[in-house]
Amino acid sequence: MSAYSLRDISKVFGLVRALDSVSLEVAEGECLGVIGQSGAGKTTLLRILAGLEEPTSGSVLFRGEPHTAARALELRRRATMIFQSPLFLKGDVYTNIAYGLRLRGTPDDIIKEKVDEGLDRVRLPSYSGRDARKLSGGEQQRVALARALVLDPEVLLLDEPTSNLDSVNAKVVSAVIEEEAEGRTVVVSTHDLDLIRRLTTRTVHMDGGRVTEVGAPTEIVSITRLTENLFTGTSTMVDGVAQVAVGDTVIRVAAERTGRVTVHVKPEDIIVSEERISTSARNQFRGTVVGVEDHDGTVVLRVDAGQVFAVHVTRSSFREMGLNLGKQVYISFKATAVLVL
Amino acid sequence: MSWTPILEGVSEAARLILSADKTVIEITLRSLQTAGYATLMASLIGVPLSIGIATGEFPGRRALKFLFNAMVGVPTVTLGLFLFTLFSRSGPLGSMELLYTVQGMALGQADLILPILVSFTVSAIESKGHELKDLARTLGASEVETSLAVVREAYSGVSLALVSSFNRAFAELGIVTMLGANIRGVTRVLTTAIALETAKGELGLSFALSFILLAVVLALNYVIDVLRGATQ
Repeated sequence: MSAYSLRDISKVFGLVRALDSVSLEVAEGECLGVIGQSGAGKTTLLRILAGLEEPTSGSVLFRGEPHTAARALELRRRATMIFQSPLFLKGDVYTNIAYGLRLRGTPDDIIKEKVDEGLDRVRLPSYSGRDARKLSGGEQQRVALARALVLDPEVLLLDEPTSNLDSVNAKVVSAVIEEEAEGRTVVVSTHDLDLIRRLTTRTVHMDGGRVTEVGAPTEIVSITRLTENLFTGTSTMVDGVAQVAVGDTVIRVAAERTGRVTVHVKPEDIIVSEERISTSARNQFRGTVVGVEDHDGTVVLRVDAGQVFAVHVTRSSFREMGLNLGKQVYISFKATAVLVL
Repeated sequence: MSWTPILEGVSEAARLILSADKTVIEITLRSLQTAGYATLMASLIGVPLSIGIATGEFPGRRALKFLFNAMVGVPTVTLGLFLFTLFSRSGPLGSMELLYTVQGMALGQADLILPILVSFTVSAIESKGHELKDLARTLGASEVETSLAVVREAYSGVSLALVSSFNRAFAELGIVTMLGANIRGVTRVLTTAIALETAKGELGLSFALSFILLAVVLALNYVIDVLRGATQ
């Protein structure tokens, strides 16, 4: 039986159509990945699955039963969502993790046991007395995970659980999610393609509020395309342009974003030149060709410019420019060609 | 120009308080009672209403918020006059016989402070954000439990709203004058007594009553502040 059946779901916020005729089945016990750039509708989809949002039109079936506003509480007792930026009630970690259990009328001694066990699961033992709002971002996300896990939800909905985290905390969170996915229905939206590949059996790709592809993670074209030229770094706004520092390389992006972001540049949007060129493109780096592969008439170059960029060029350009391993080149791409994921 | 009335007032206040003057105690208790009823009524309506306005999504939400914000500045005499015509014997609510009663004054003050209470409470809850509501809900809270969680988070702002509303009711003159008419032993409260004694030229007694009014306000706020500090 399906855990969820979504039929022709749309969600409109004012003038924005966040979801546009989405139909989707989520099987019981399945681990479903959701990918797509920011604004694609991933969060709205998860919020509808979590019973936090009602679709503007279309129907949601949870375990074959139509989901209505009146039954939202029942759904929310079985499905718990983890938000991208964790939120906390006033008070210590214990109060926060105990909250959901208290709502369910769990006796105090069992709450204590479960809180300790939950903190062990996220590798934060002895954290129960800490002020939840004063923890680091990574610790907060782990506590948020523990807070959901102690409820033993049948459905776990994770909205970009690792995207604001440093790599150490992201690893812990991914590992915990992998352990806990067993025996539950999990829907996870993420840019972490490793997590998608390890965890999910099926992934949907969303774009502009629509589901554009569904399939095994290895089959999804958007994923294979997205595996190249993904850069994660810290973004700061300078003159209305986001400057994403990835190691020593600063990628300029036409977007308003600060903090940790993952950006993507399509390999075919990058121009290769022998000299520095005068151009409107905000990104220009000097690098060395470190890899050459031929794919059905398109040559895939790897250019090491601090970060390794994959660049698609035609065979004729490749020949005319005399591009070869070790050659020094410039690569350029527009700030508007960079996608923020 | 002389400081005598003020100094007399201080010593008179001390004398009245120390001798536990019956009339003064009665008037003070009536002020507390009226403002207390008013705050209770306003909060019974205002707090749930604020939760609705702050966390709900319905057409006219912004307009309603604007209305309450704007009503904060309503002059007490205007509101008093309006209610006087409603409560007067020939008025639409005349049969309820609220005019010249503590209940009538309390109802009037409740109308006065409702906008203050709602405005403050709404902004206190809104500052806690919609996200917190989502958090409570996804952890399995019902709508009522969610509202409680949001109010608990906004507790310090909500308690400030309640205290400010009480203070406003306790210290206002226009409505109690219009609806209570300062009847000795029935509707005389601190503010109307002060106005009367001043008009009679009894400045010492006026100051004494004013100091009592101030002392009650300060003491009450101090207690609330300590309580708020203890919960944070």
